[in-house]
Amino acid sequence: MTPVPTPLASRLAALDLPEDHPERERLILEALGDASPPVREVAIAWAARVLEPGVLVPLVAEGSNALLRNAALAALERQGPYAVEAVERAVATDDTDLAMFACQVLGSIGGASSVAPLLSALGRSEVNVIQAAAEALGRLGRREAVMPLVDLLQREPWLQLAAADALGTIGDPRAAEALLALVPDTMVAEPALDALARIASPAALPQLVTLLTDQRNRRLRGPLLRAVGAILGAEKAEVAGDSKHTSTPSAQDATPSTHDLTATGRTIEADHGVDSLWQFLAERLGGGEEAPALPSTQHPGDDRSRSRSGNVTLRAAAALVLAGGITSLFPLFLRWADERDGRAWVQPLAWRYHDRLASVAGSLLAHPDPAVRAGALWTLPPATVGADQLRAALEDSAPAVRVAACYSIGVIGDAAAAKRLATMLDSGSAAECSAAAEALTRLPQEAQLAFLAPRLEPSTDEAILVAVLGALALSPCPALDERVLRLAGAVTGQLRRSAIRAVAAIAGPRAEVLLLRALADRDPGLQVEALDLLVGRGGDRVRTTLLAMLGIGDSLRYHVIRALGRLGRPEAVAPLERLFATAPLHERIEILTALAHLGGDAAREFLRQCLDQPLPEIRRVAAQGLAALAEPEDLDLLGRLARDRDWVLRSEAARALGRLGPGPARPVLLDLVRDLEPAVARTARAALAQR
Amino acid sequence: MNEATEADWKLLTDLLEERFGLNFSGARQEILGARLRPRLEALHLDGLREYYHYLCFHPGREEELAELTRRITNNETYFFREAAQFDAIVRHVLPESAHIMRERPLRILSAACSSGEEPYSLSVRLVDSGSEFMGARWEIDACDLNPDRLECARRAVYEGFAFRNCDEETRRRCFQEVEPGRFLLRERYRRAVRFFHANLAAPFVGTGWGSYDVILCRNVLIYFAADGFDRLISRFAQLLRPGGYLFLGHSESLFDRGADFEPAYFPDSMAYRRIRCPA
Repeated sequence: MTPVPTPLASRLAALDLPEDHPERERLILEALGDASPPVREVAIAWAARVLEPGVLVPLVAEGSNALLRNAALAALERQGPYAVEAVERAVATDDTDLAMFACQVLGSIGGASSVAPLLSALGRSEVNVIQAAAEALGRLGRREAVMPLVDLLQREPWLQLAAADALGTIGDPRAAEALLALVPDTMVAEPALDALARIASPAALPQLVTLLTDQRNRRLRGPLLRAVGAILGAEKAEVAGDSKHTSTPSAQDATPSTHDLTATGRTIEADHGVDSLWQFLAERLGGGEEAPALPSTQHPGDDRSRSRSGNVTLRAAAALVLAGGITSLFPLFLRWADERDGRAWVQPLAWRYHDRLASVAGSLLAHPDPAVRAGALWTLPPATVGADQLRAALEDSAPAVRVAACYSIGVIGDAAAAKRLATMLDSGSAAECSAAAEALTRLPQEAQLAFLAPRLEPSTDEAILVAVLGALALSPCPALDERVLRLAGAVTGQLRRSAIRAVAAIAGPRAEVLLLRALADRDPGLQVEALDLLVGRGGDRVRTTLLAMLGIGDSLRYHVIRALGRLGRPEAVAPLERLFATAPLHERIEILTALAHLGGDAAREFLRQCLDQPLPEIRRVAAQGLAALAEPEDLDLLGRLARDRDWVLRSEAARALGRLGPGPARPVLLDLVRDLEPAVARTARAALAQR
Repeated sequence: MNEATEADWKLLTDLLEERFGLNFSGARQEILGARLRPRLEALHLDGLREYYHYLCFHPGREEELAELTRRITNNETYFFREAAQFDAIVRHVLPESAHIMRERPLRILSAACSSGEEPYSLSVRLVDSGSEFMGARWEIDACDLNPDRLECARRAVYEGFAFRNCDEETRRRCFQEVEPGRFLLRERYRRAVRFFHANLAAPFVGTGWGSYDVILCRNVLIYFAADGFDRLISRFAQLLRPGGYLFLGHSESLFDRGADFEPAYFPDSMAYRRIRCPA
């Protein structure tokens, strides 16, 4: 007779037995092989919590029951550092499957001590074990594994594949030569190129370029180009926003490639045929994508996939075009700079190769496509373009070109353009108005007084005033301070907000008084902004005012409490503690957060006392504060928090113990690593890894 | 902004799951972070934990939760998306529901309709099928969590991307160009569609809900956590009359879950059918 299966709910409830129940271990072990995924999931959490690694490891060798084996693996992975020693021993076992799975678990756990057993596993005869060990060594990212992994590149394709990927992850240039030897004629040529892209060793560049320009390697053009691009710095950090005002090509930006690619550029330029490399680059620069290059975390339906920020192959193509001086493709590259997102990656790349662009500046600035003309102005050093040409660009028929010209004129401070900029400020589009205002703030003082001062009057059109004040907030002009201060009492909210931002950029007590007055503005949003601006300035008067404002129980007090925390002045501790007793809950939470920012013995003691408060959220915030302030003498307290029923408190305890460093806390962290709540376990694991 | 800890993420994503049924664990955290950043800036907050506290305890939390719904819902939609399902309703569901339509209009729900492209697409297909002349009648209810999108739906003015799967002829016939590049859906397609605000993760109470013959809930369940998914499916089972149809997105499935439904296959698409109560 077939036994009637216990209902799901009963099987789940059976796992939640008291710690000392004699049947608990048996039930957990049984549930690890349960057919229901939810039951297994709960059983894995309990197994990680209560079973010793020595009990779990033999289950991994359970070849006849894949469910049980996989559940045991998952439990060991969750145990992390707690299981490392037992799993490391399992790598040396004669059981091939067990050794292979043990390697996989060690790769997931990521402990440095695992390098030695994994390197020994590379010497075994079973391909599965060697492959798993190679993959695990890649995940560990340890450089001592590089040469043994390089040796694997001589072996069968599965091992070549694992080793190439691991070497790419480790990123050591010693692997470059051996990886290049796999290109173009092996099964693993593409993974090898992917690894070379991640290593980005300049020594590999000449050979990669030779391979790329060889027509016979057409099928590998994408990966070859990405590897070349990585070496040429195509993926270097982007700049935030438009940084042209503050930056012209620096020595670092202008560092040439270690390998002169002009000859390569000439070769590419010589053939514009249908199947040529030139055509391939043109398609990439035109926005065509050969293969998906979204980050792995990006969902295809995510609207960011339509971003114009450029993908890996596009940027690689741009880097090669610039480094090789392939001038016929410069316009396609520059068009990307016409939009703000594009400029973030185009500008640094252009500055690195500014000499190439400068050599054909004239033709780029006269290009029939306005996007190219604007792109040239955004990327070429303004001094290279010259003041006459920039002034001429202010008369361009395309607004985007005129805007770009404004920025360049601001950089060189060309006073002769002031009159035209003022006209744009008065009658241009919103973008022109803003660009012209910013350019005018960067001109010599006489030009500022002549063209900006008359426009800083209450009678000026509001859009113009807002543009000028916005520019002055970024780049204050002392000669105009008086007029800006007068505008802080403007009638409309938008104008007062712009004025307050510009006021914040002005030094001295008068500006500070105006900001303090703005704390009582009728617009609550402006009050909060003024508060932020004051905190940014700091100072005794600000602190005194804010402490006085603690006595006013309005909606701004929430922000005042936060501001006092950010100011970091210890005098605020006692008043905040006094307010705590009577404040509403949302303010009490902010008081505790502010005390954590302020620090010191008194704040720490207050947070400790709050751990006895009845409200769970107060205890949580107090624990969060202690995680930032705890001292070694708090270890006992943190040990108690680590056993609290509330997972947030256990998580904060793990964070605090990680911050305090090595010592008697390790057993506590090893216990938290096996916590039923994954967020606590991960925090504890990160804390152990810090040490 | 302060770097978010594991606990910060869990507190916030648990709250979103509890309030809206939406799952932002794993890789979706990054998407959530990008969508929340403007809110943190607007509220002058330094990190996710502070935002979590704001959502739970600040006096302005209800307004912020409403604002949050605008940020975290995915509004990606367009006319005639997965159009084979509309054809299945016109060619198969409508004829077999003739006996119902003799008594009352066929009742259809478009759940999580965003800016209205889905219910309007169905309306276009139904009107253009000429079924009205053979006695067919229908009502389409459409709901969404995001009040801004519902407002767009009521305006029924569309542009650009909304027409990516709509041919020129259909656009000219069904829409009127009200300004360059902006098109208003003609009244005859709008009149059978009613919109209302609803949180699919909350119990179905208040106005708007009724007993339906067809429910469309497409490309929504992929954002729901397992518990929320199961709860919503059992609510749909309550809302559908026995024998009624549930249409999901092509990447969504009730395989191995939802004992109240059985697959129903049409020539170019499939749906799930509410199992009839045993006699």
